Amino acid sequence: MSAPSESHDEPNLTPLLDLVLQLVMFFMLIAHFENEQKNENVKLPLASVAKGLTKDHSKVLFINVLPPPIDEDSQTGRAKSNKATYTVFEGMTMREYTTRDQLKNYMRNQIAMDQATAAKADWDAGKGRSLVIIRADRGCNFKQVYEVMTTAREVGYGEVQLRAEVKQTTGG
Amino acid sequence: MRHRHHEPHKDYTKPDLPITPMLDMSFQLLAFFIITFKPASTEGQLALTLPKSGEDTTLTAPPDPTKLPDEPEEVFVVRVQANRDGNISGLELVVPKVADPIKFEDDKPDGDNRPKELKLREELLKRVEEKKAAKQPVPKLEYQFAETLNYQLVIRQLDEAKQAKFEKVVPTLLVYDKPKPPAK
Repeated sequence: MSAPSESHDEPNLTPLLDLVLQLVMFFMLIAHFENEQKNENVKLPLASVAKGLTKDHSKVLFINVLPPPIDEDSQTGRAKSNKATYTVFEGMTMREYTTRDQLKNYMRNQIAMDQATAAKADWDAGKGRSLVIIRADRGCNFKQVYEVMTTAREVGYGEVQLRAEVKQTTGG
Repeated sequence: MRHRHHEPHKDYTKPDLPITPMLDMSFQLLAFFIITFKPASTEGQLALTLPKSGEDTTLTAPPDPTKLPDEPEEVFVVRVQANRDGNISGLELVVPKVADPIKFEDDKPDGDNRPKELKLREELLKRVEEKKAAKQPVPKLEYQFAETLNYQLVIRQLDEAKQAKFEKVVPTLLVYDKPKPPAK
């Protein structure tokens, strides 16, 4: 005869542990700690055919473009000035530039670093340069974005892409 | 189910794996990953062709449409004018070998009152189809955007060009024929 209640009656935690570890696994795989140089304040425009980064772009330079704040006092709802703010990243530190010259200096330094790490033959063949991705806010105007494009081209970058939020198309 | 009779001298103890601390730790890990979880980024890029280097070439007047292009590559030019609020105020397509630019307007005397952006899109699609039917290469598409044009509208235009299967899309700045009055 066994005792009516034994002290060894405890819930079987092993299946629970299995489940939890599965979940941990799932979230670990999903979480990619991207060190993309994003300014979270930028609200990207929508586009339906925007494509993700391909593998052949190993080096990417992000330029975040924020429009000037809207003039609260005026009735027009327009911005006070035409000066955009450019947010760039050096390592983990975020820098804000307000003039085109500052941005140009930064891009010069970045492309010099690209050149230093690339083989000379590759460099002369136009390779080894970072891809410039412009993350411009949807409230910008074209001039503010175009200035970044021309600056990139002037310092010697060959490829510029505009980043947009992928819009899910419904039906067509 | 004791096997004492078969293995009389073995000191059998049930292995006791401490599940509870392990579970605690797992929950900690789970919580961490759930908190840091962000749905996969839905950002993508629009690949563009940069205008030819040197500001002088981009800031020149649009090519004379009556003149045959010197370069073998055909270029369609879309001029997008904008008002001060950043909306599209004028839309025209310049096709080589055609004297007058095709203007797109919301209201046409022929009663076609659809938005001009839609009409431009249909025109571009039609022309790409024609090129493909004739087994000719799809021309380069150059966009000349007014500098005040809202960026979302810029992207929408480029997006539609990509949808129409133009491979080379070149955005440049629209330079008006007559100089604008100074801002200040």
